[in-house]
Order: sequence, then structure tokens, then C-alpha cells
Amino acid sequence: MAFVLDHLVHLSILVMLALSLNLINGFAGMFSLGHHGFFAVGAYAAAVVVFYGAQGSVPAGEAAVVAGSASSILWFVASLVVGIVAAGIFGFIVGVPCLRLRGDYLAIATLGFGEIVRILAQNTEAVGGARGMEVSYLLLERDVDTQNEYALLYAILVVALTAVTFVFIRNLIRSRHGRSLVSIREDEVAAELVGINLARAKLMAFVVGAAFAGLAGALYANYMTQIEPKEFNLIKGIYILLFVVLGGMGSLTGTIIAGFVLYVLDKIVLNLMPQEIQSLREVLFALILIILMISRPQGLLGHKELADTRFWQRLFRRQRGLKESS
Amino acid sequence: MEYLLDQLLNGLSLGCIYAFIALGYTMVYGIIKLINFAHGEFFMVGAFAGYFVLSAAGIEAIGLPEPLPMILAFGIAMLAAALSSGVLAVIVERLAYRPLMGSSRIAALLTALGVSLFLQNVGIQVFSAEQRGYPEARRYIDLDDAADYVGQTFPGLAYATFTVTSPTGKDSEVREILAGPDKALTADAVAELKYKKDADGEPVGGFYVSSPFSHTAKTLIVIVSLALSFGLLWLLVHRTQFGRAMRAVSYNPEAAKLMGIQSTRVISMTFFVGAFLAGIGGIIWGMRYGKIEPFMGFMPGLKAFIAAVIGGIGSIPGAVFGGILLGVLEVLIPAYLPSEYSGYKDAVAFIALIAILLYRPQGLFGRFEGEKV
Repeated sequence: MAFVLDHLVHLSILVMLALSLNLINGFAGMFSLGHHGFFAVGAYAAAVVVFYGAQGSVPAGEAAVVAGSASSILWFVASLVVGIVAAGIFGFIVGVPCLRLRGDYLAIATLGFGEIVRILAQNTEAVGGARGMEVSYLLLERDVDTQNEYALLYAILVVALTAVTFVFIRNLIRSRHGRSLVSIREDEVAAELVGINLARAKLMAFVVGAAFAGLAGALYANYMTQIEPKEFNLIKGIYILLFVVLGGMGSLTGTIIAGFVLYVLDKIVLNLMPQEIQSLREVLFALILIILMISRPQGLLGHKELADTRFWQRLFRRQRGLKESS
Repeated sequence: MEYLLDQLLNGLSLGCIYAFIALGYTMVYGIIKLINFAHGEFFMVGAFAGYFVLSAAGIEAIGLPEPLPMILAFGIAMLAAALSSGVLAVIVERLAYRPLMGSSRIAALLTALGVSLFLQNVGIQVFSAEQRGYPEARRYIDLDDAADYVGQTFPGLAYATFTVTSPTGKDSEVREILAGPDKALTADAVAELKYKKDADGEPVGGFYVSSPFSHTAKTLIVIVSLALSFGLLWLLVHRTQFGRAMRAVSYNPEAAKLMGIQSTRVISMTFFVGAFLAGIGGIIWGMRYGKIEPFMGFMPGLKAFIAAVIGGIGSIPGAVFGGILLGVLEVLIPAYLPSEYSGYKDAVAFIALIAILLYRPQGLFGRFEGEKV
């Protein structure tokens, strides 16, 4: 049970990250390769709050933070909020210079940003340097007895927040702001000519996307006991990107489906296959990416959502038709 | 002053390697507007090909370090490295990039990332993930023959290596220098060596005489080979039929096709030439830094791309200038910062990239191309 829930937490966090990346890459059409940087900022911001805030506020006489107490839960919420805000601010800082770049150059600049974040984390002693930071559990005591409860509680929380992310981004895309983003993706010059403020729309995409990545990071840091700078490397960024690209850039449901498929595939190769095949795991992912780009560059669903596909509509029309005739 | 000069030379030789890689990046980008992330892996494959040739040739056995056979051996290894990189690049272009002609730039970029990851991980499968020491040009002298060398000085260094076990239980290699250019080999040193034992109890048995080239000389070799390659490349691009075809495809692929230029062949050749240079860079890297591994191409590849952007992507002199500038900056800035900041070395390149993209996106040597509506 705890095993399934643990995977659910990890998958949900990755999907949340991929959804927020899809806002920037898929809907706004700004190809970013540095999303793991925002994830890292969120994780480190949350870790700092937990480490210096929650653990730091414990009076000298007492042993450590008591997980599950009212103040601990408050600190937990505070760490999530700080993670979101910190990543959002970074999104703004990265977004402003990136307004002048597009295409390949934007990809390389954001990749550089992701690397800079990792190098900074690795060399700053206040956040543990290369060793990383310890993050104590705040939400609930976690030991052998409460393992299942903790996993269940956290899984519910993370899945709910991922659902919130999904709904928020979907509604944003359907709003005036989101439509202007899509129009920028389709034709930047035409969008500008009909009066869309390019800079504002692009910055909004960056800030919102980064903020949700920060939330994912904060949730991740609070779930793991330890975060290390080397976890937030480019491979992580590419893994997330694969969710978005396989699902279809500009399809939120596609991202979720692709995330699920890839994650399960990844874990099957990792856990069930013999040792020799395991090391081929990354070769497999690279091959998926190459073959996908050559044979179906728009991804599984392209710009469509699941509900817009013929397959889905056929399923539901038939049912509706039956109802009408009876 | 001497410190500055040393650091400058270090920066120059690092910069020259960046330049070797950057040339390929800039040529490929100039012709098909693709950031070929896999270029760093061509560099890696070149380094490994050189490694295998040098090991197989038994660089220790040729009777080195006489300069002439050594240069010959390195020449063959360099050619092998360059050719294997070039052939790999042609295969990659044919299988992965050509089917993407005409599709979106982002799809091509992602494919390039995928190819890079693919080659890295295949590299792990084939070469194994562990670091390897690059073959050094050195000659082994058995202790039985050592008596003939007593009283001599050597153009390089004469040293013995043996392993010791540290208190933590890890074996490590220790070097003891016996003689050098201005220190003759003494009978005492040889006699003492007879009693030296490795950690596993094996007697040391002999010592090595290293290559006669000093650090500075090696740097000069690197610079000269870059200058030579750059000159040949310039001639190729500006003075041959093929170069003219290349420039035509880069200028306007459609029009070039209409003029009867076989653009697919030109593109294929461009990949070959670019990777050829990266392969040379790979073997130089191995000789200069002594360690190679399947992941070695990624960071230098990225930095060489940054160098190409700094110089103005698509510009051949720009790539050379950008590479050298980046190498020097990357060595000099951490050298003059307090030592606790030396970890930020890798950030220098990325900060330089973002700065150049903001203030002069066309690069130092690039021409600004107006946006087409």
C-alpha cells in the first residue's frame, strides 16, 4: 500500500511540474529547458523555511520539531507558500531577460539558468553545499507504524494540489490571458498587431509556470528527508519535458497520460526487469524521444485535450445517443 | 606575473579545445540552423577512439619518448579519433536529423538532445561508466637495466609509481620522482627502489621516463594544431568548390538546391568536417587533462556552444575567438577569486552566455539578421 502511495506522490509531483512546463512550452510556445531550475528554487526555499524556520524556532531545551503539532503544520503551509513565491520571483527574474530571446536561444538561456541554480546550490554553504539539506517531516510523525497513514495523507494532499494546478491552468488557458498566450504561440506579429501586450503575457506565463513548479518543489522537499543539488540536473528537466512532448505540447490531459505511461514504464524497467536491461533505461528514453520527434512531432494528442479526441467523443456520443432514443 | 602567465596558458589551451568543438557547432548551425547537442558526444567518441589507438599501439612500447615516433603515434591516433567522430556524425545525421528536414526547429532541437543522451548512455554500455586514465607517452625501464641510466639526466621526468593503502582502506597511486632534466639519476635512488613494494606486496620492479614535452610545450602544440586546423578550414570554406556549395546552402538552401547543389550531401559533409575537428579536440583533451569518461562531452559541448554564440553563431573566426575568450575567462576568473568561490567556475560560461544574448545577441562577429515577417 505504502509502496503504491509513494509512487503516486512522486508521479503527481512530476505531473504538476510537467503541467506548469506545458503552460510555458506548449501554450505560450516559449521553449524552456530550465524548468528544473524553478523546481529546485521551490524545493530549496521550502527546505530553508523548514530548516531555519521550523527547526530554528524550537527552544534550545527541546529536542526537535514535533511533527503534526499546530505550529508544525503552519510551518509546513508556510514552506509551500514561500516555495511558490520564491519560484515565482525567479520566474520573473528569468522571464524579463528572456523576453528578448526566442527559439533556440531561449532554450539555451533557460538551460543556462537551470545550471546556474544548481551550481549556486552546490556552492552555497548556507543551503548545505553539495551535501544538500535535511528537511524534517512537519505534517505528521513518520515512523514504521504511521508509514501508511503518512503516505496516504501526503498522497491525497499532492493529488489534490495537482488537480488544482490542472484546473487553474485549464481555466487560465480559456481566459482572455490564456487565449492571448496561444495567439502569441501561433503568430507573434499578428498577436502584437491585434493589441496583445507581448511582454506582459509572456511574463505572466513564466511567473505562473515557475510558481507551480515551485509548489511542486516545495512538496517534494517536504516529502523527502534530504534534497541534494545533483537531483535537480538537466536529466530531470528532460524527463519532465518528455512528459510534455509525448503528451502533446498544448495538451494538459496529454501531459497527464504521457506522465503516467512514462513513469510506469520507467518503474517497470527499473524494478521488474533483469539487471542488464536496467542500465539501458536511459537509452530507452532517449530512443523514445528521437523516434517520437521523427514520427509524431506533435505528440500523442497534439494541441487537443482528451475530450476533443475522436476516440473520446465516439465513446460518449454513443451513450448519449442511447439515452435519447430510449 | 608568472602565475598570470601560467593561468593564461592554461586558459588558452582550454580555450583551444572549446574552439575545436565550437567550430563544428557553428558550421552545423550556420547551415541547417540546428543546435546539435550531440556534438559534445562526437568529441567524447573521438577521445575514446584516440585512447584505444594509443593503448593498442602500446605508446609505452614504441621506445618513447623519442620525439619523432611519438609524434607519429599521436598523428595516427589523432586521425583515427577525427575519422571515427566524423563517421559517427554522418551516421547520426542520416538516421536522426535528415528525417526531420522541414519539421519545426523545436522538434529538431529535442531530437538533438535525445541523440546526445542516447550516445552518452550507449557510451556507458560500450566503454563502461568509469573514468580512464589517458595513455601517457612514457617508457618503462626495468630495474635490471637501470644501472645503464645511472648518472644520466632525462628530457622529461623519471619516476616510479606504486600504490599505497590509505587509513580509510582505499588504494591510491603515488608517484616518486627520481630524476629530471636538471637532476641526474643516482645509484642510491635505484637501490632504494628495489625495496619499494606496492600495497599488495608486489615489488615495484622498475620506473618510467615521461615525455620530453613540458607543460608549456604541450600548450603550444595545442595552439599550433588549432591554428593549422583553422587555416585549413578557412581554405576549405573559401577556396574550394565544396566550400562555395556550403556557403550557398547556408545562405539560402532553396536557391542553392535550384542551382543544382546537392544540399543533402553538403550537409552530410558539414557534419563530417565539424565532427572531425571535435574528434581532434577530444584527443587533445585526453592528453591535456588525462582522464576520459562517457559523460565528458556534455559540459565541454555546452560550453563550446556558448563560445560559438559569443563569437557569433555561423561565423568561423567567431567560434575560434569565442572559444579562446571563454577558456581564458573560465580559468582566469576563478584563479583570482578567493578559493571558496572556485566552485562557481562552471557558472562563468552561463553568465557570459546570458550577458551576450542580452546585449549582443548576434555575437561579437555575427551579422544581425533582420526579422522576416
